[in-house]
Amino acid sequence: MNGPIPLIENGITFSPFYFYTYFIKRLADFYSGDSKDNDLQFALTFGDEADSLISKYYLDPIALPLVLSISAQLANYQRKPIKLLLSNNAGTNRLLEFLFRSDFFYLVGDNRNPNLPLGKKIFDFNSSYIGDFNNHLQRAEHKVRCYSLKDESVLAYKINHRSEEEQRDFLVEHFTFKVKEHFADLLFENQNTTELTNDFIEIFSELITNGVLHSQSEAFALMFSDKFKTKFSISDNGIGLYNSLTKKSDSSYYTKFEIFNALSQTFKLRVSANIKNSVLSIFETLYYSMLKDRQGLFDLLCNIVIHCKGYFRLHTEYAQIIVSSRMLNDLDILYRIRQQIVEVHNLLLFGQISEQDFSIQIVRLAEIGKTHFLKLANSIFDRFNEDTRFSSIRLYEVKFRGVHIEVEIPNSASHDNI
Amino acid sequence: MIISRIVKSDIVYYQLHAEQAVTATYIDEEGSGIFEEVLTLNTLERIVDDFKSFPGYNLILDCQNLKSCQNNLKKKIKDFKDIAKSVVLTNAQKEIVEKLDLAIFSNPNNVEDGERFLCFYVSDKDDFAITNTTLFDDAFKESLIRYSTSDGEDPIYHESSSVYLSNYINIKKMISLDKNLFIYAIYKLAIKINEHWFKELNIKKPTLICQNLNSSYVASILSGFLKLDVLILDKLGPINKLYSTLDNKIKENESYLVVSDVVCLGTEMKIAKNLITFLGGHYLGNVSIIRVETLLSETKKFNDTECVFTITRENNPTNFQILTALNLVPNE
Repeated sequence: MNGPIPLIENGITFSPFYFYTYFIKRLADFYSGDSKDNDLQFALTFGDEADSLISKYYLDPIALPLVLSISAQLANYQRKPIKLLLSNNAGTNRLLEFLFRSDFFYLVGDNRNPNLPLGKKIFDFNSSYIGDFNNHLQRAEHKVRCYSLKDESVLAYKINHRSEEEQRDFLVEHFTFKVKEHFADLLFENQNTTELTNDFIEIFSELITNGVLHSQSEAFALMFSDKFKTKFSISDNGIGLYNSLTKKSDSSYYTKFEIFNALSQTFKLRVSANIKNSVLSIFETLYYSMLKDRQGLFDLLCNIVIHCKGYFRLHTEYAQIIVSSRMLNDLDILYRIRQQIVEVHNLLLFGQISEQDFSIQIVRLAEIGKTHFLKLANSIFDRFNEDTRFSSIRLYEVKFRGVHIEVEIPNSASHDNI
Repeated sequence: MIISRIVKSDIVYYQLHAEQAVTATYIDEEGSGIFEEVLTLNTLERIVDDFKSFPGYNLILDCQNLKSCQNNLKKKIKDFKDIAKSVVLTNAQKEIVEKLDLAIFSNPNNVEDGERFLCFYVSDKDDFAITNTTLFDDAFKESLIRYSTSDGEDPIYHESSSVYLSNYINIKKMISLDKNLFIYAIYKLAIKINEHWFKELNIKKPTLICQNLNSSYVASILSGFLKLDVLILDKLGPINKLYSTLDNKIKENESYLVVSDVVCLGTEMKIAKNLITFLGGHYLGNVSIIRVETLLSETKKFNDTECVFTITRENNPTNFQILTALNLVPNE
């Protein structure tokens, strides 16, 4: 494709689904095509000036962190900001205003004013297009955020001497305060989210911590709340799940890559080795987190899906898993096993059982957990064969580095139709 | 800094929410003061460090006002268990017990009350009995006695109210030497204010008014805990009275809460109240650390006032007396 790549097309909502399915593909086409030696250029919107009066551009705000994340990677790759072409007309004005008020332009530009988000120099755009807005009211909390240890050097210094687990706890606490500062007003909006506020804050601060600690780079995040749902999206440029897993070590009840290896024998989908690796590493990560003595990703997932009745989508490199109440039965069984595992860990911690008893019990539980986990994974793969549209995994041809998580939680706790 | 530690014989007591409020007010940048309901790592780390000087003591962790806690704090509880003879949580929501992974303990002495445990022993075996529930009051009384000074046999002349006092509570000394306990008292006051004026705090955002050095110390800490503004009305008395610039400080239709260290006869408080009302402000009430109840409850209902410690005829540890020439026995 020649010329700039459009981000948002007339009449098509730019959602995370659109992003993964079409947008990334378009980028890949650019780099594999003839024009790869030219500089990459984006156009915010696509359409004729003449049609501007009837143009409608839709953006699902939670797709913004994804755009930022991939653009940061590409800007880094070409060692200079990506050119972003803007236009300000009757059709795009509202969109530009939303982006402006969400601090998007400060974050992607070269802003050095410390009272506003620091510019990451991701895009190179002509700022004279930004303006002439109708002063629509926009929630002050609907902003794109960037979290990074680099920006907070004091924080990085404070956690330096701590072990990895302590670093994590420390950062979770730090981000609990941050999340509250940035998003709490959104959560206090209605009675139902107010009840879940502490859960939300905890979930989001854990996700942000995962993002910054693993990736050692920026994590982009946005929370958006409408009448029915509170959505949260976080995207980092880190090393991804597979590489994190290679750093883990074996223990009496966990052998590295055991789910990975077991699944790869029964994995029947005809896809490339890369895609297979991504899918299996997602399952391996969840299994590993299920066995740990600490609360982690698996508990987070259960909290979202079982307690908050929400949606959890996790994407890494070539694959995405979508966990929702559709998997509730299997998840419920795993959750109960998880609770037993935690209990055994606790008994050991408080000296109620001996090391030996602990080993016997935990190995037994891990075995049961593994069986159920494999069953769940295989049934997901089978269903993928049957119907790709309603599948719980989505596979992509193009690699998108890092880990990208979207969470959607209905505002009403008793709302079961999601 | 630990504010709520109270040691009594072999018991050490901490109020976790008070410590969490300190974390949330002074360590977190934005700060949510006493409205913070989630126990976090930093708070427990500070308490563990502090408790290290009391090995072998029985430990009470009071969880009143906390709703939840950060994940993965159980290792800190283990640290407490290693240092202490026994550990008990009081007023703990069941969610907290679950999230600290303490549900593996079941002790027949645990007392449940609906959604919370009045006391929860972090052990399966029988443990120490918590009989004394007036730890704070006792500690405060002791401090009050320690920092009460009398001028020999002579009564002290109280300038603003034109009476004599048998002795006088040296609040400045108390603030400096019993710093932690005093801040804990301010925390208790903040909790009481929030309960009393809950609606007003959320809607009207009253301003705290203080009139002298001691009360501005109290008000400045209160403002951190409650997220309220402070207005210092200096020179309202007792010695200097200077009312020339007040009308550009008090704004019409704003709400005000008068803060004092000690309310004795309430003269200064009344001056402030009159000025606020005269200038069109809305007077919500007055708060203080110590209040002397000079009237019987049948005569006056104390509806617009909150305090941490009341000196009454029954509760008068320093034998505090307000005297006039009518009943004063002159020294001869």
